[in-house]
Amino acid sequence: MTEDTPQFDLGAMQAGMTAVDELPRSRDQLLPALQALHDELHWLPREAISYAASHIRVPLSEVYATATAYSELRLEPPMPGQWHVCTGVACDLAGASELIEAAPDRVARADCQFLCALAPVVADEHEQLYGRVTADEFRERVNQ
Amino acid sequence: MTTLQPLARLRERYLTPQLPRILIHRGTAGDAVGVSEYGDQIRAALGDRTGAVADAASDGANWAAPSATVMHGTFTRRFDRLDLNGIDDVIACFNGDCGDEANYAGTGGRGLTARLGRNDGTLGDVLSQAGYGGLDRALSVTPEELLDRLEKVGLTGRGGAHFPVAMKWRLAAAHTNEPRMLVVNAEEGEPGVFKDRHMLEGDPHRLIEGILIAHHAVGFQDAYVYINGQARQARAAFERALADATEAGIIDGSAWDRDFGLQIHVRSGAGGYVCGEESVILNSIEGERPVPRFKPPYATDAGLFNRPTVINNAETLAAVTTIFENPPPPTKLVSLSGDVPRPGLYEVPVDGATTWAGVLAMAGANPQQVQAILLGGPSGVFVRPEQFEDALEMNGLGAGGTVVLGPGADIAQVTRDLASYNQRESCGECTPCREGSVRLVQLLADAAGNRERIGDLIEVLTEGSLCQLGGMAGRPVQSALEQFPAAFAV
Repeated sequence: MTEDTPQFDLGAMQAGMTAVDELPRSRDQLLPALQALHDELHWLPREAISYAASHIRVPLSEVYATATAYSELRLEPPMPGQWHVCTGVACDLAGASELIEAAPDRVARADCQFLCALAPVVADEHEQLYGRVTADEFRERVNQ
Repeated sequence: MTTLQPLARLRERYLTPQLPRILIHRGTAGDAVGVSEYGDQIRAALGDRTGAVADAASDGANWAAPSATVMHGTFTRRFDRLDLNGIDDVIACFNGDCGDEANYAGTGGRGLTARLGRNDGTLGDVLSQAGYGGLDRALSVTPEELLDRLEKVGLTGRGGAHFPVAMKWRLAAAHTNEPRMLVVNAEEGEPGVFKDRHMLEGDPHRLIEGILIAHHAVGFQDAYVYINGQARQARAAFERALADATEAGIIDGSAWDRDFGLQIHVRSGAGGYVCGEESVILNSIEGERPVPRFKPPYATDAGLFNRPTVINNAETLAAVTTIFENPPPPTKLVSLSGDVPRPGLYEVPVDGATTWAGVLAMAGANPQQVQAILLGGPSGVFVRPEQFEDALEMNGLGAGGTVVLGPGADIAQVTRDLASYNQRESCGECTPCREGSVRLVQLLADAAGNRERIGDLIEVLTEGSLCQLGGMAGRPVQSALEQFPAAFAV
């Protein structure tokens, strides 16, 4: 472990490990194991990936190969208070760029959130979606 | 009709909801516009009659959210945009004053969306609305008769490829000596599509019914339902329905005094457009890297865990259920968004009479105010106004993702965004897509000047890619360049 390894929540790690322990030790449980850890930690520190690897009994390199291939599995801690603005086609048409401009330093662009009929759509740090958001509403929510 | 007995037994075991009642349209869509606040107000206004209020999922009319539906015995009325209109009319209607009831007679009745947003998620509610009647009918015929019926109806896969369902099932059923697998594709990672989420949140039992009908026809050992990782409410609703149906003896067949012998597993995806590709789902379930497999072997010969496997889209199996109910004409779920007054989920009859102009009118749009329809997202095509009067054809509808582009939309920019999306989502497994998707984005910076090279590149992508993400990545670009060349003029 290097000095700049980000810290993770030990309680969440423990909860994730307990969830992994309940899964059968078979290869097809690899993604469920990573997801169980991710659900608790909201990202996958090296320790979590090692735990999944040893439980499922596959090489660490293969677990990394899998973990890095999925866009929803984060390998770095999420930024606290960061919002996502959907930039799918419908949200772009409905003014997603104005939402980004409303709070540029608190916002990341996201691909389609599959709530296109309620465009434009944003997600808070807990992945709760909000639809038909105006720039003023969004500025207010972000600064709450 | 001895076959009706098990169903009647089931219905007797569960409570049928009392009418009148009020359903609050929650689900992902309702929650995103804060419908619970109005649900709380409605419950508070009803005092000791709050038992008549229940949460339901979206009925697909996203444009109406936040909304609530009042159900009386003979009619059903939805109250739209509660934020603007308040809850007084809802309460009045519940108390018997609904204005002109005749305008709201009937309940939709049949098809994929018949129960969507009209049930509170309990098994009793679903059973009281003809739930598991399709399975009951399907069980009364032999597997061969069942397959013949599907073939006669001409049901095709609703995920986009439109392969004949009966043929796929027969290919897998032909392997008599091995355990067979069913994979239900509810990954729905195509931008612009939100049908399976609505279906799973609002009527998961229709999918379970379809799975069991498929099992009766083919005979599986396991069924894996692969649900998009972000669609948490969809997964929760499906798991609840599965638990309720298990408890009722529906899954093991004991409710019909049979032994189905099918295990149903639920898996979540973890992001990536390519994860909707069927061989990627197989790798994902097996715990391998989510990349496509070479074909052949085809999944029906050697699929999940190397066993004969049927992979069906969730909507396809839900459509199987409707065929054994009171069959509607062939319908397709269309996820409609963009520049229209009433965006949402529509069940569109594909009966030779329906046109895009008709669909646009349903959604409140004036076809003359529409520049184009983007059909099929990053793998799709642009439909021009000249084509709006053509009858819809099932195999031209893809997965039904439809974004309406109004007069202000920048088609060149939309095209570049779609190309960038395909580049980001390329899994990197095959060279044509890994390299080609990058080059396509570069060439689009000067589309007019690079027209010929873009054509050549698209040919390579189409012919050489391992899966359809790469194979169809050039499709929207080609369509835009052909149909809207002026948009790319310097």
